[in-house]
Amino acid sequence: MTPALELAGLTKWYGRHRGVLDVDLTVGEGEIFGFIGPNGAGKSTTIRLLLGLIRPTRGSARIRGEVVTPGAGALKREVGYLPAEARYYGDLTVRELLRYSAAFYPDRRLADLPALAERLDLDLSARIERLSFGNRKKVGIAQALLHKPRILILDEPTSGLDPLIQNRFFEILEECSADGVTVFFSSHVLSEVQRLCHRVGILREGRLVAVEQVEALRARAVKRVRVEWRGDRAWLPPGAKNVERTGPAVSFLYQGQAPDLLGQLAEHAEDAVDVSIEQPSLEEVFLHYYGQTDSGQGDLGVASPAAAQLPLLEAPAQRDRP
Amino acid sequence: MLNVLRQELRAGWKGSAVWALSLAALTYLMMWLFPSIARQHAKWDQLVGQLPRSVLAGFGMNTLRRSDIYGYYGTQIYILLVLFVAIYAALLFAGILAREESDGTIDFLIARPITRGAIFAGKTVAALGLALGCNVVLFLATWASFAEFHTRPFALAPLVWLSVGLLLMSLVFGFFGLLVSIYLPRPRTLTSVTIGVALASYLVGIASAMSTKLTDLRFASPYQFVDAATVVRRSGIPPLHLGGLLLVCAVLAAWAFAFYRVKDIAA
Repeated sequence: MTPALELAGLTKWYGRHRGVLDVDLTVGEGEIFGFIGPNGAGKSTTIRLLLGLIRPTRGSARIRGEVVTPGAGALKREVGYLPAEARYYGDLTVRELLRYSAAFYPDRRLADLPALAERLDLDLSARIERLSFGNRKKVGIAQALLHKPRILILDEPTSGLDPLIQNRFFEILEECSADGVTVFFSSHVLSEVQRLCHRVGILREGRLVAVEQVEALRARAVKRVRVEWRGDRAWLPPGAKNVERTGPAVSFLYQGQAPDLLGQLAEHAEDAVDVSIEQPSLEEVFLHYYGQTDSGQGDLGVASPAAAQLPLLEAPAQRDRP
Repeated sequence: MLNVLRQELRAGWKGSAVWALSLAALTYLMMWLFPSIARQHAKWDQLVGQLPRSVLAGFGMNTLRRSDIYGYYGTQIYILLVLFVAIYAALLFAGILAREESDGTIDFLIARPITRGAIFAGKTVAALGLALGCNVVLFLATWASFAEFHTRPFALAPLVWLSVGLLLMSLVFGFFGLLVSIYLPRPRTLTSVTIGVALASYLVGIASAMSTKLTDLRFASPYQFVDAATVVRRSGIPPLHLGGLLLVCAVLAAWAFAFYRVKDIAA
C-alpha cells in the first residue's frame, strides 16, 4: 500500500546553514505521527518541504506516492495544513476567509462549518485582524479541516490554544484518525505527542535520531522529580540520575513507574517538605535518551558527583526512634 | 486562478481607486488653469525663452507650446503623470506577490490545491486589471478636462496615444516591480528599490534630453520612448518604441514567472 507520506534522504541546506539532513521516514494511512524536536531541529523545514514551499537540496518528499515539487497543485487537494504561525488576511472575517478557502475545493463535500465553529468556540463574524493569536490558531484549525482532507499536516498546532480547546482539538484528531485520516504533526511538547500519536519521530539538529512506537516512549517513563528536604538530610531513590541540589531541595531524573517512586518517597515522607513530579524537558529527553554513547543507544547518563556528597538517610530499620 | 484573481481585485480596488481619482483630480485641476494660461501665452513665451535651451529640451518645452492644449498638457501635466503612474504601478505589482510573503499569508495560499503558476497568473492579471482601470479613469478625466477647457478644436488621437504611453509606463515599471519583488520580498527594501528606479530612470531621461552628450542615456529611461513631444507630433507612438516596450514587459514577466515557480518561500 502506498504510504500517505514518504521522505527519502530529505536534505535541505540554507546556504551554509543546515535545515534537515538525510531524513528517511514513511507514515502510513490513518496513522497519527508525531514529529518532535527542540527549536531549530528542522521540524518546520521538514513540513515546508512536504508542502513544496521550499525545494530540497537532496532527496524527495512524496504525498500518496506523488513527488512534491514547488509547482505541485493537485496533490494538495487531499492535504489540510496548519502553519505554526496562523496568519490570514486581516481585512476578512472568519467566515469570508473560510469561504475563500472552500472555493479552492469546489467539488468536495465540506465539513459542517457551524458545527465546527461551535466545537472550536470560533466566532465566524469576527474580523481576523482583531483576533488574538489563539483565536487565529482556531481559524487555522477550521480551514485545515473544512475540506475533509485525507492528510493533516500540523505545525505546532496547540501553541496558543487554551486547555479546553486543546482537548477538543485532540478529540477531533482522534476522530479523524479513526476515519482513516493521516495526521502528521510537529511539536516540542512531549505530553501531547504521547497522548495522541501512534509513532513518534525524534528530530535533533536536523537528523531523525529515532522513530519509536509511543508505548516505548511511555515505557521509559522518565520524570523530573524535585524534593525539598527538612534540614540538610536528603534521600535519593536507587538509579536517580542527573542530580542537582539547590539548598534543601534536590532535583533528579527518575526512570520508572510513578507508584514505585511514590511508595519509596512515602517511606521518607517525614523528612520531606515539598515534592513535585514533572515531565522532563525535551532537551533532557534528548540528552538522556538520544545523547551519544559508545553503544550508540540512549542512556540516562551518570549520576552527578554532587549526589555523592549528600548525606543519605539511614535505612528505616537503623533509624533512631524518637 | 480565478479565486486568486477575485480576491486580489477585491483587496486592491480601493487603493487603485484612490490613485486613479487623485491623478484624475490633479489633471482636471491643472487643466482648469489652461484657458487663462493660453490667453497669456505671449508673456509665458517671453519668460520661457529666457531659460537655457537644454532645460527646455529636457522638459519638451522646445517643441510644444503652452498656448496649445496638447503643448500645455504635454509640458505641464503629462511629464508628471508618467512618473506618478510608473510609481503607482511599480508599487502595485511589487506588492501583489511580496505582500503574501511579508504578511505570512503565503503559507495559507500555497497549501491550497493551486500551482505557483496559477497564483502568479491570478495576481498578475489582477494587477493588470487594476492598472488598466486606473489608466482608463485617468484617460476619461483628461478627455473630460480637454472637452471642458479647450480654447480651440482638438484632435482626440494624440490624447489616446498619450494615454497609451501612460499605460505602457505602468506596465514597464509594474513588471519591473514584480520581478524585483520576487528577489526582494521585504516591503521596506522593495519600496525603496522600485520607487528609486522609477525616479532615477525619470531623471536620466530628462538628462538625456538636455544634452547631446547624454543622448545615449535615453535607452536607460523608458519614459523617453513615450515623450509627449514625439507622441503629439506623430499622433502616435513610433512602432519600434511600442514594440520595444512591450518586449521589455514580456521579458520581465517571463523572468519573474520563471523564478517564482521554483523559489523557496521562507517562513
